[in-house]
Amino acid sequence: MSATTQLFERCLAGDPGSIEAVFQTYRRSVFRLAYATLLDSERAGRAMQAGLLSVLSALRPGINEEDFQRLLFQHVLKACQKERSQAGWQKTLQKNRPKFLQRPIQTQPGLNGTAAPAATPTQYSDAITRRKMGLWNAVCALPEAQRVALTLRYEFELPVESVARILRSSPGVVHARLAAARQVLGAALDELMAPPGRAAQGAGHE
Amino acid sequence: MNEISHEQALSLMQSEADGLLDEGGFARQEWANLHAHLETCPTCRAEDRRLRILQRELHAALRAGLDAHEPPPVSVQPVIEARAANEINKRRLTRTALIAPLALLLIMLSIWLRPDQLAVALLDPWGTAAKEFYASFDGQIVFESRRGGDLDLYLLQGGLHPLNLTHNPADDSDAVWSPDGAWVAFLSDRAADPLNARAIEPREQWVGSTLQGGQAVSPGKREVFVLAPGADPAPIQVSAEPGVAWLAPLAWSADGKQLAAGGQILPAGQEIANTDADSWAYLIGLDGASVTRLPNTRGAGQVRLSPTGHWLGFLSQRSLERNFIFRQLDKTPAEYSSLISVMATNAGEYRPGAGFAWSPGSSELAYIVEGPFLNRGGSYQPSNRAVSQLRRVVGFPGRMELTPEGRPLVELPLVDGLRDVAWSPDGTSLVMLQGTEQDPCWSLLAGRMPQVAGTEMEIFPVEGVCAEGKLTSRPWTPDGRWLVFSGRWHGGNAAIYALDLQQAIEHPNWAPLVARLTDSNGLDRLPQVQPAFPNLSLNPQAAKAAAPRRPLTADELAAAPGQLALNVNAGTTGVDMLALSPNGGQPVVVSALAGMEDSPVWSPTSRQIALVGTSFTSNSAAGQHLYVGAVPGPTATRGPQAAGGPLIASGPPVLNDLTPDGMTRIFTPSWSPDEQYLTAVTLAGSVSANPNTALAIFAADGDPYDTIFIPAGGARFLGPSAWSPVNAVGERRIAALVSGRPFDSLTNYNLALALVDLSIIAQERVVITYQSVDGMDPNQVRGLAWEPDGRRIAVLTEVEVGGMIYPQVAVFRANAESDPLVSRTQWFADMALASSQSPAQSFVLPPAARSQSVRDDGLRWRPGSDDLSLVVNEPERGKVVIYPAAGGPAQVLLNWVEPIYQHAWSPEGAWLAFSAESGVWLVNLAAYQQGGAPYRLISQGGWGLDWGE
Repeated sequence: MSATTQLFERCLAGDPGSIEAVFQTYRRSVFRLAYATLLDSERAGRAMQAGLLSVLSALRPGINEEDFQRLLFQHVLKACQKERSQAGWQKTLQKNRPKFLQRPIQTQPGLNGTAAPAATPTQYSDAITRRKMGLWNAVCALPEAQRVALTLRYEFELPVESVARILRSSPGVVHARLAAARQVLGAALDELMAPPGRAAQGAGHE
Repeated sequence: MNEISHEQALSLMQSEADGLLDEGGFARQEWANLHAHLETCPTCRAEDRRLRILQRELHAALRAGLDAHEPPPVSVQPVIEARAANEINKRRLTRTALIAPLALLLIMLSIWLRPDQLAVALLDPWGTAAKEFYASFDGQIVFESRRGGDLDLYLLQGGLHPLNLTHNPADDSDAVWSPDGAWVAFLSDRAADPLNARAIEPREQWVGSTLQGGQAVSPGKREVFVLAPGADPAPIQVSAEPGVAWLAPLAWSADGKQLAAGGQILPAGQEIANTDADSWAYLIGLDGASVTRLPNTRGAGQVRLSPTGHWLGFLSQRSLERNFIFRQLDKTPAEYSSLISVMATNAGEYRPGAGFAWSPGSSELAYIVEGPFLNRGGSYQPSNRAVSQLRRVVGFPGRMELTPEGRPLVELPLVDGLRDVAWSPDGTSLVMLQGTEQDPCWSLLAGRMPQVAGTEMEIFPVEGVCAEGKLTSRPWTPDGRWLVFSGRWHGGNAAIYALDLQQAIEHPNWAPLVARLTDSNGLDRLPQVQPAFPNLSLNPQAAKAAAPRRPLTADELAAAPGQLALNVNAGTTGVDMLALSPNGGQPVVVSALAGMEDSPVWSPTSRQIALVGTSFTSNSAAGQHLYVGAVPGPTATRGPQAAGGPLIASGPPVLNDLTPDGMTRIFTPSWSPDEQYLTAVTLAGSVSANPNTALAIFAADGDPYDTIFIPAGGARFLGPSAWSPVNAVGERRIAALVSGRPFDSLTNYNLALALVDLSIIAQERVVITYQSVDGMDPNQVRGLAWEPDGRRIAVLTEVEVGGMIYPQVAVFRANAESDPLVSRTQWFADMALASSQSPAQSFVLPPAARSQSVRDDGLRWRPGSDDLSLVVNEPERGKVVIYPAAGGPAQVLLNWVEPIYQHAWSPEGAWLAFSAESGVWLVNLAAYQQGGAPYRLISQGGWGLDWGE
């Protein structure tokens, strides 16, 4: 039995130290997934807490790390769903998203944020940082399903099959979501990597 | 290796980005194809590079975006708290799971292992006494029980599993064996209207400890039934007396041909009598026809017959003091001076609910009175009000020995709270019940009659035994050894028990031998032990079928007035119309067209007759015609048709055709009081496709082409119409029924009564006023009748409720400006509407008014009365039912053995004619109520009856 599995066993037995250890181990990744889903740090914090607590009650003896992570992410996404349904957040997002998509991607500092309410910081100094944050803003503007799949694939570097299991979906669907997201983000990256004059010209078309 | 297109290459690049392609995996062929294409295609190579840059940038962008937010600290405290709470709950649950069964077990043990119960279990293991009981008694016991949910009769014949005799959702109760033990009579509300169910206070028959303070639920009026448990247990209804609620106990006469019972007169509009209603003693013949209310028995309760069958005794509650009164059954009403009243008023009162009992030879009486009693000085002793006394009268009835103060000869010791008394079959012992109304179970006392005059009877309680409810009239096995009762033994389950009373009396110090006969708990009661008398060959069914009625005398028949018109089937030539005199004479064939004739209606003076004929010949236009003709009244003596012979035409009168062009349909016509006009609803177009109806006014002797047709506007006239019998100057009114627009918004069923005022017919001034008829179905209209004095109009429809068809009758004032409704039946289609209109009094339908059909044109006013009559039919029976027009309970006037087609009243209302398949019958009502039989006028069924002067 691996050390991680032993840790889970102790959690199952109710050992506070082990629970604390698991929480601290997965806290960061859980929060990142929750933030990527909700785009709100306060709600993401609550979803993180709820996800971590609820996954403990779903623990089964002999669970390995990979299965635990999948279980954990499923619970976190469920907690996010609960958060969103309580706040009506999804409704707001769906309402604003079409307007945002009609605008060109803003690349100038301080001009972004039309559909990414808390995607900060927006102050960046060099071209690389500008490009990263510009692309992040484009990620934030994606539909939630694509954004979550993208996060699991590129942030947590999970294979498509694992992503599909976490999302309780099929690999084909996940692949389609990722391809669609890459198409949008590719265009955004082209804009971001274009010479400054061309970007200004694009902005002036609005 | 295959060549692939740019689009395929782009798709494969996306797959590769997601790790779905690799050099060594399952998709290595696609991987090879892609990379071969990339080597030759610079555009795709650029795109591949762009994709790889995007993925790299995506990693960085996601990291940068997510790094911008630090996760908040996470707390394990909620987990720890939740787990601690869970632990506590688990411990509590475990503790409860351990303690609860233990506590339950202790409770059960404390109930089961009570010392007395333990003693019973040890002394008399289950079944020992029961085996002994059944070894000495091989008869049957009938009792009532709620073990099936409702009250049913059960038969016990060995073993613990009784047989349900009645199997009916109605309540069947108060069973009593016939003297020969072949039949059981009982009361049942199965014939009552179940929707009239309501709770009533229990009356005397339910004086028992378990029902105290509670209510018995009775669905309605109970009737007397009998069944033969050993043969066909199908119950036969014996009584069908409207307006009488039967009271238990029932009592068989010694010859088994009659039953005695108390009967309360039902207040108007109720199926259940209240305790204040008058009650009488009745004798009910097994034939079901002879129900006799015994004179001078007002206030009778607890009606019982002496074992020898000559005397009927009852408790009279007519005055404040309660006395027993006895009358000899074989005396005529003129000899009622033979009534004997037992009990001096100053010697205590009969205890309500307590019984009285004849000795087996009917020569002695035992009964219970309660204080206050007179002391020796002649004054009352108020303190002894709760004290009761068992009294015994010897020498009944000839040499009744009473003290000068009216006290019975033998007074037995004062005992608190005596309840009921019963003689043993050999007349040597008495058993009594004792207890207060609050006692859950009454003690059972026993005593042997003193053999030496002047010695007191010794009464002692039977240890461990108590009874719930009353002792029945047959609680003993025939050998007098066992007493069967509902009760408990040593506080155990309430059930039917048998007590070896012989042993209990002879050896009062021994433990009594008690056998438990049933296995229910508190659901069984009033056991009746089958007697073992010689077979009396009783046959209630045959008695009912053969109930003799005396034929009408010639004088009675000669008094039948007027003449009767009706249609009869003339075989292959169609339908003929006859006029015949009910008091004899050849029938006159009014119409013998080669077609169908219908709806004969006498003119008010009976000098003319109107009829509707359907012609199938070429002599007149096709369709229906309204004919009018003068008919000479038959005067000859009764012809052979009275005995069922063929009908012989003696020449039809000349008929005047008022509709020479024919019509699609002409409904039953109605004469104006002056005989100048006729009215009828007519249909000009197709019956089904075009309900273009009109109310036609025909001149009886005028030009047929002067007929006036009054349309109903957007509505349509329904079949019946009636001309007001009163024809004041300037007032000619016709009542008709209309339906459809504009009445859709008025009622649920858009039926309206139309009053058509014809001020001057010649000028065609017509005023129609409408009165909506709430809750009546225009598609089920069966009749319309105007009261002979023109004050009121009655409407008959029918409605289906719960699979049964009920007649609906509504009575309206003819001249009311507002609030015209006088009364109506309970069964309106819209029950809420019916109950919301309070000013009108409701009719109450008796069970007999349940019907499978309501006859068309079947509503009549009975002349000289305030009553309406109508025919309601069951599958194999027909009834003429009388309704008071002002509201109140309906009564079955005639209960006939086959469905009735139609009925008609003689002009003065003393005779009733009805037609059925067996023929046309006459009923002299006065004679019928005294046992006179209906008289068959012709043996051919007819319809369209109308009785003229």
